[in-house]
Amino acid sequence: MQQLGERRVGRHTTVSVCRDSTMARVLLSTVRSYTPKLSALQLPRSACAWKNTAKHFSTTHRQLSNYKYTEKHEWVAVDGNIGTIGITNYAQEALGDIVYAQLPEVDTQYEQMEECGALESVKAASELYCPVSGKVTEINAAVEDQPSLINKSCYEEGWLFKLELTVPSEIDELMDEAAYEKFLKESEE
Amino acid sequence: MALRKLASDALARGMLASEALVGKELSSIPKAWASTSAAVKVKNTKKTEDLKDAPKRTVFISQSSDVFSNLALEDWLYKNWSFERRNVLLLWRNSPCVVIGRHQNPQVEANLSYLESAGVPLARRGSGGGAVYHDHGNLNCTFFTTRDRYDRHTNLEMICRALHLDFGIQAHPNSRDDIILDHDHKVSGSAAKLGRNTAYHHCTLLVNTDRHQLKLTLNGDKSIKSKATASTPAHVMNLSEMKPGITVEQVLTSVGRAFLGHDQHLANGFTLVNPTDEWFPGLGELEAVLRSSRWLEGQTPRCTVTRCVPIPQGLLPHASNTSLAVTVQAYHGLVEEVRMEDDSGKEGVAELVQDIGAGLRGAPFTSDTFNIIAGRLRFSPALTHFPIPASARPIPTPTRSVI
Repeated sequence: MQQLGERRVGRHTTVSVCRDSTMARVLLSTVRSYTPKLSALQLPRSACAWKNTAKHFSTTHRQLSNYKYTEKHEWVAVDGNIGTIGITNYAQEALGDIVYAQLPEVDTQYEQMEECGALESVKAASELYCPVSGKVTEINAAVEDQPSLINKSCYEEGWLFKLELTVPSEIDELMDEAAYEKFLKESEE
Repeated sequence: MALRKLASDALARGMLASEALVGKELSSIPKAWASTSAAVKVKNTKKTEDLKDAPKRTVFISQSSDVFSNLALEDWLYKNWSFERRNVLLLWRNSPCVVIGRHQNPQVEANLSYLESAGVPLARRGSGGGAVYHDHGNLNCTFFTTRDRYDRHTNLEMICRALHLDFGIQAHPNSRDDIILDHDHKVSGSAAKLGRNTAYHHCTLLVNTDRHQLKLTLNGDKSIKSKATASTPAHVMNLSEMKPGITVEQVLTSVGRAFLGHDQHLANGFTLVNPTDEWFPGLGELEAVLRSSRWLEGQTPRCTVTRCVPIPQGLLPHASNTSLAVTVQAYHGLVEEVRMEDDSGKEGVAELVQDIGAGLRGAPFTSDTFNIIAGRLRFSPALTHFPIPASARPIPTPTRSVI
């Protein structure tokens, strides 16, 4: 199994992200996380010793700390090697009522920042840009049928499409939630 | 052509020569322009620093009346230029054509058979909104700005001010960003496209359009159900009905002058542009994409159409039934699924229809699709399994018995 990276992000927090697993193996033991408290395994920095001992679990509910943000108000939630893409609350408010969502086609490959679709609202077609490089694996048919889902629930049901990441390091360059909030405050000034 | 006269007028007044401006920066204000507006004193309400940073304003007039070239030019400017330091207004006119919005269904919006018989082309633009009819009596204005400076209402207010000052026409933009005359008659509709750093807002302006042709072309098939953007029908009116004798050239000059404003430091004048590959490298490719069926039909959202298809008598239990309600689902202009509308107690026929659907999957969805389905229903080999009376069977083509 390939270990992508392991980082110490706080006094009691070590984050390890591994590929080749369909479920994210993320262990957090900090009080401020939004996830339920997991079995606290102290990891040695060098080895992935918990490979055999760690419990598998599936992240069925959205962990807000997993979301990464771009300056153009898109979010990416990474789950193993699959990234789910959507637009943020700021973007959906700015667009207004979305009347049609043109999503990318499945199995198409996109580079980072390449145009991959459009959202139409009040006669303005707003381009969708792919925040990370990858190949589209799934699109949200519910949003094709009912575009207002994006306005109502842009982080959950209003997700746009999923893709298989081809350059996972691009995720690290994106903003996390705190940085995005700061970015929003600075743009308002 | 009247446009040539305007061009020569513009050149005579000392405006920038067209060949100096192929995709290049406009650096200096011609002295002649400064002298004609010498009577207008620049009101120095802003600080000098603001004036220097304010974007320069340029008006482009397209010399082509081909809708695909003009749309390609719009796309080229949107993709290739940066509008940090300048705002551009592109004024263009087309020969008769119908332009639909990015996410619309051509069959729903336009009367395709009439368009074909009248030789009127159909084009799809990159911005949202509804379907419009263009001809030489209609002026199109495209305002290019950065995404932050995108402001439809200000652009429309500027046009209304120009119409009021130069022609005494009282028009105002409504909440839908249409320009309304005479309480409820529409003379202009708007649409926009927003990108990462650049945005454009374009609008039509009906000066002297053929309204009869407009009604005939924008008369599509409303029985098609889909999530595509629908056009909002409106009562339209020409400006010439309010002010007889007004021409597109006059409106063009008026709107262009209003856009350039009184500030001579920021005004870069009128420029004639020719949307060709020599002037704008790469424009040919954009034009080819706009003409391709992949763009015209391939962007059509999912839709379903239900029609009654004639069937051989006896196919259905009730002998008097001679037609079957068949639904075709199409996506991106290709057939996705064919099914019976009401398949209670007719399993055999439902399977037959589904087989036909499997055969047609991926084929282009055209006005002929239902005829093809009817033909296949009538002559399908699977009909031998059905208890159709011999009298109702299709008559076989007589073979020659004499060699």
